[in-house]
Amino acid sequence: MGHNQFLGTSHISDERGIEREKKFSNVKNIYRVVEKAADLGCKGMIIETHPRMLEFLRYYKENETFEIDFYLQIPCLNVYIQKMNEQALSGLILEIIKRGGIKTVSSSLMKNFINYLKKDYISIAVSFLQFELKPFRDVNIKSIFLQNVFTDLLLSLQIYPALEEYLTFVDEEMGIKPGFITLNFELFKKSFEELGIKPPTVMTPVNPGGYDMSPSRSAVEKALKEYKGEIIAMNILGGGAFSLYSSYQYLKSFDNIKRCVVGASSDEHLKELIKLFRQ
Amino acid sequence: MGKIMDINLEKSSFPEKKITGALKVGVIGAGKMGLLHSGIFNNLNGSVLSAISEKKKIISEVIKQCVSGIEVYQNYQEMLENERLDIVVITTPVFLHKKMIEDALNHNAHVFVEKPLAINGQECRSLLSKSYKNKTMVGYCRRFMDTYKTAKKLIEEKELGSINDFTAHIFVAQVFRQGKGWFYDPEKSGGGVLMDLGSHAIDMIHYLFGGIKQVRASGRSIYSKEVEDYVSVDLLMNSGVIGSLEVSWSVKDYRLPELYIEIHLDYGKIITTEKYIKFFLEKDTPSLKKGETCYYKQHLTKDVPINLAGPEYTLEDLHFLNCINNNQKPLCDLHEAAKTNFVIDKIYSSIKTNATEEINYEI
Repeated sequence: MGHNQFLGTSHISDERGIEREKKFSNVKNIYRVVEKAADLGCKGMIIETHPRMLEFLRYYKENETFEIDFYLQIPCLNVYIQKMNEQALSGLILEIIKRGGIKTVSSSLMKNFINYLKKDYISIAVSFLQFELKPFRDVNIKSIFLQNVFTDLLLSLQIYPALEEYLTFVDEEMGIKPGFITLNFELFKKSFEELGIKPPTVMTPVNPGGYDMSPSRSAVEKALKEYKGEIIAMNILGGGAFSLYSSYQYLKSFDNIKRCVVGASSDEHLKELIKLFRQ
Repeated sequence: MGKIMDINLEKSSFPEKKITGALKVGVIGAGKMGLLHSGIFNNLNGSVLSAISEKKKIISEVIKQCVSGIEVYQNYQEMLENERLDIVVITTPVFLHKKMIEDALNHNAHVFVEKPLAINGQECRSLLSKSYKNKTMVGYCRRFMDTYKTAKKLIEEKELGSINDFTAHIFVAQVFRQGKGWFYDPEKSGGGVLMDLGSHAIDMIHYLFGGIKQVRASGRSIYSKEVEDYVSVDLLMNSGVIGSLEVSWSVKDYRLPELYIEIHLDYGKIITTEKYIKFFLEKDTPSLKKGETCYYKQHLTKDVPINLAGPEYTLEDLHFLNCINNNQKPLCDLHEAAKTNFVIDKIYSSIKTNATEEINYEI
């Protein structure tokens, strides 16, 4: 189950987004929809470090009337964009250092931080990742997915060591299955082939309109069919722009896609979705 | 160009990247927009990222470590001196734009600058007082969104008749307490929400409806001390059409910016946002059916070679490259973008004087 609807997002209409925002500002309503989804056979749910998702997780831990795996998407961009607006870049960096466990930040520490960063930006990224994962220690995190904005920026600038470090750290140090989200699947597949790394788990748009399937639907279709790693299809309904049946038929044409993420905000929608996918 | 040559780009269906003859791109400012354009230009046929200049040491150090095969500078003038750049992309705070544009043009580069063009109309007039042979473009990216492009086509085809009036708003949930950074310092940003979000709306009003004759406006600071958080404007267009615009970055529930435009015409209305275009017709026309029609952006999407934060950014960079290669005028060059600054100046004047202000587009 996708989570955007719980954060007041609609990919086709802002009015619908505002309605959802009102409904799901009470996390009990999120819990109720997810509980229903779990009852109907949904096995996992996407989450991120958005304050509302953290509140939902606390509520889930307190009640826990159903079992579900969580798929964590990192980092939560909205939170950091808001922080940048409120504190500027220097304020955000200071907050990250403080959250890393250091209570007072002197100018010499800031200087050392820059020197440290010069030597080893990967270590800083890893500390940042550990910080992002703190709230999720007590829940069952099945996989961690790097947001498409980061994955695609790293790919576009060919910052390959960061991709490799991310895979190694999440897999070996944390014992969690790492994954990526990308809107540029052909480039993603090609880059990992060139790197000679075992194809990682990937979440990527697969829909009959070719929406967010760059560079083109046909190129992505070809790459998807050739991919040896695990694929989780996302954006399958284009946020509601494509019909459920046409999306389902399209998805069925890929033998190697066994899982998909889909959003639902009501019981009726859930029942309809799960009934079709169970066929 | 080591990092690109390291990869064999001729294999499989990976888009072929022609390194020979590719235009060399240098980016000034490695914030969100700088990195975005860096990634896009690095992946388009016909261009390659050669250098980035970022004043903040902490960021330039990270880029040096992460991105191989490019030169990284802290001083943009050094970058302009040392690199023979074909294209310079400027994504710095607004108050730095004018000097950087002039310096880049004086180094014979084509210039792409993020919106708004400059801090006020006076700076724009100074920029436009000299003529340059190189191409320029300002990043009003909504001109490359298919929903607004479809609205423009519908207006131009006149199947819904002539425009009577329009209402528009651009809202986002962003400022609910005093913010920090150059955005909230009028000396550096030129103003508050009107300069930031409002400039997109005014550019789109020019794109859809043409020139503006008069404005009358009111504005208010709610959370910010030095800049406005809310502006309301009544507009009279040169065509006689009247319109209204509301601009705010302090409206709850809008996670992402929404530019909503509702246009009333002789035989129906058009409503468009970033996400959809709807039109309502009172009667059948030669090519359109009576009733409501709605297209979501997902239906109108076009293929782009790389998608980093929305296809519109790739489409605008591609458009700029095509204009350079085919010697064509970019859709929103310095002259076109300066119009938005001229209107913003008059809106601020109207807020101060509480009077109707006439727009002067003369250079």
